[in-house]
Amino acid sequence: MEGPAFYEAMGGLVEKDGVEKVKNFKKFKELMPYLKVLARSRPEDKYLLVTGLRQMGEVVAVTGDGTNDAPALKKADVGFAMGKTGTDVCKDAADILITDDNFSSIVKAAMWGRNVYDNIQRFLQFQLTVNVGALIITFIGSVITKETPLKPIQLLWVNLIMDSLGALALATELPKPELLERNP
Amino acid sequence: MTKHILFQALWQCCVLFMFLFAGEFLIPESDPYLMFDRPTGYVYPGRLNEWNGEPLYEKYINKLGPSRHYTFIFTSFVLMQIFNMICCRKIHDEYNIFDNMHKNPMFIIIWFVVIGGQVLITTFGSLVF
Repeated sequence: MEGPAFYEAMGGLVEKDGVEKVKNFKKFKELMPYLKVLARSRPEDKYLLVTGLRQMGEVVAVTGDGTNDAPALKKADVGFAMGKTGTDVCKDAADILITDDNFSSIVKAAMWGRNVYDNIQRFLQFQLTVNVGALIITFIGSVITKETPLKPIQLLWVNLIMDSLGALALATELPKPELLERNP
Repeated sequence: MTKHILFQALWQCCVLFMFLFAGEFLIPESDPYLMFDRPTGYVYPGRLNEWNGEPLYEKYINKLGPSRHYTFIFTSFVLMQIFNMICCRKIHDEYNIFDNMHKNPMFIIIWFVVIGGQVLITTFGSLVF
């Protein structure tokens, strides 16, 4: 499908309560499963496509290198710009720069991003468990027996385990390909 | 995540409170000298005073340092954290918590370092731990 014809069929964008929406959203939804390539598209057409897809509840990533991609890059959830060949305008509009101009880097970026996020979650889960456990035991134990069941120096050792060693152990997990099978 | 934290903490509290309040009926003691005036075969309670206020471990704390009872509680607490660390590797409810572990040597090394450290400080740090 060609860009201008696509724009024509969708009837352009309408603004409602400060949120831009596709005018013929029903038609857009019908067309989406069949749309593979949008040729000769102008900046407006790209922008419309991204807006419509986000309106459908999809997570949209856009790659681009020219000035005309900038609005779509800005509108997308994640905008990737080419670092070597891209213009300054599109680099400014993008969230992530692909410095080696290689599309497979996007996959790597997604994998590492999810991995870092997971590692932080792992560490948080561990640390919060230790904290909650130690807190309850120390508090209730002290109240009932009138002395501390866990001595301060023992709690220091527990802290050493969970802060430095726990962070090292849980946050050095490497990414694995299964991470890519998850939904965004 | 909240589910894991809460139930893991609840489990740890249950175990530790059991050892704290019923340790003298549960934890066996092999050294007859350390049973003092209570030759029951179980560990001498680490509480300074009996529930009615009579001195209990207070009589021995200056001579022997912290009681075996409380060292036991401390060690079980640390060991529970260590095994909790393995469980924390999986945060999306996967079944196999050991999956991919061999690819992370740092984790395995730290795991054994912590266990070794725990053994060392409880064996040789007797007056403090």
